[in-house]
Amino acid sequence: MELDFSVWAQRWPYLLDGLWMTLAISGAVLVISAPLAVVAGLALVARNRVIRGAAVTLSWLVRGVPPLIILFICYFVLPVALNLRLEPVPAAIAGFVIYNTFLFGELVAAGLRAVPKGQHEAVAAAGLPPLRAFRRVILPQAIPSIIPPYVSYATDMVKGTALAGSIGAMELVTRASQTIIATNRPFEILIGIAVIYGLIDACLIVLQTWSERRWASKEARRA
Amino acid sequence: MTVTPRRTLALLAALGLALPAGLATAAPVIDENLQITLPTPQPWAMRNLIKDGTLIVATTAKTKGETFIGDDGTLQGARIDLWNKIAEDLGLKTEYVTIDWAGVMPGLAANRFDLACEGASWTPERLTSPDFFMTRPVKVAVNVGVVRADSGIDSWDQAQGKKLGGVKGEIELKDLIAHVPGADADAALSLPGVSEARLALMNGQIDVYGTGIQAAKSLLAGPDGDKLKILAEPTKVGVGGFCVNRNEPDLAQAVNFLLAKYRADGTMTAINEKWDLPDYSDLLGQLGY
Repeated sequence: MELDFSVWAQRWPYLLDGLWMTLAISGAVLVISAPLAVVAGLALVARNRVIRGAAVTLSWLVRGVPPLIILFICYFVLPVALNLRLEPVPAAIAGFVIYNTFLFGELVAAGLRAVPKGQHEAVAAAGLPPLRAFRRVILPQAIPSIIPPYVSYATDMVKGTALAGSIGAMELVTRASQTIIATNRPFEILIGIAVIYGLIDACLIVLQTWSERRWASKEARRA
Repeated sequence: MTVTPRRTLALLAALGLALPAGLATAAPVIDENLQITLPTPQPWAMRNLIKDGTLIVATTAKTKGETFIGDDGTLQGARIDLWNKIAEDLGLKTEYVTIDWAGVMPGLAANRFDLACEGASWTPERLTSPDFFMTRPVKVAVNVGVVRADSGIDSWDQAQGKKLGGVKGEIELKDLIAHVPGADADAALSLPGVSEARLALMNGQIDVYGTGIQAAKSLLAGPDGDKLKILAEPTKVGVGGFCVNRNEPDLAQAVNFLLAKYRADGTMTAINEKWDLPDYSDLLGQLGY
């Protein structure tokens, strides 16, 4: 079988719109879920048993449900249950944010647990306000151990946005699938889409390396 | 008034006198120049649309000829033309949601779409579904099996023991399983979409792909289509219609009215010819639709 990539010359504007949609959903989810994940992470390591218990239970529940089901709930169930009608893209973002908040929250919690206990005791003894102590002392020490798994999960999340097509969000894979039907050129389209996802992941890995180095040099300067 | 034998006889006698006189003097009621009008509400009030003034239609955009993405990246096809025409005649604008087949029925049940399905096969379950109404047929649904040309499968008997597959949740796969003697439904491969099913067939992961005749013809017209063939005997021949939101009986009535009108005035035929789809108007007429 001969591969004929000229199909891309004709169809790239349609697929490019899908790429923007994938990037927009991914970006929105990362931006919204990152601060929420910090809150979730703090709740997961909270001294207060009620807060910690509630966070652990919620995290267990949300992470135990497949993301596709969460998307279906956001798009199909909310209008019936709560009369809340989200359009496909906001519903997809909401679903992914819910899921990733707790996924990333576990990473934050793990990073916070990795900070030596003595550091927590030291800031308490120094009388620093809790928020300032967290922001200036604890979090900077936790971040280097959070970043690598965070980027790893983020690449998974970007690829997972393909699920958004199931609720009508016209992201890259959905558009690719429609293009395959229209052109009958599955291999050319699939290879091209794989290359695009590879490039997105490469960008995220570069970002990971850059941020790790930046944090390392910042810590070195501080030391 | 009580009816007595005497009164009955008098009534019959009076009718006997009156009828011939009436027949003799009445002008012909119907002639070939009779102009019939179909009175319709203008505008046709739709009380339960999800969004006022808008017809929200869900489509998979994965059936070439019916609904698909054209070269210019827009949603096209015979059903798109038909839905646009329906919306225009109802004084509505259309809003399309492209969604996987797996989301169409849940979306109707969740009140997300007013109208959906490019031509969903009529089944007893669907016709009595509490989640949506099925409209009158828009097509004759011919479900077939596609095999590799070199597979050695030419009949359904030869398909026994072979790996069956199709798109998850589609009636075409169920019809295929029901049609192959001794087929094991659990062993059949349910794939997410048409393109995946095509690849599975080409790669030998399935031996028989159950699909509609239109999708099958599209496969044969595509690259490497000469490596595939359609089994001569269909798995099932039925009819397919649109699905209407269960909260909108007024829309179902209007769509049924318009579909009948389009069949009669040739609109349906013209649209099918434009997109090179078979026109089943006469055949549907023979079925009473």
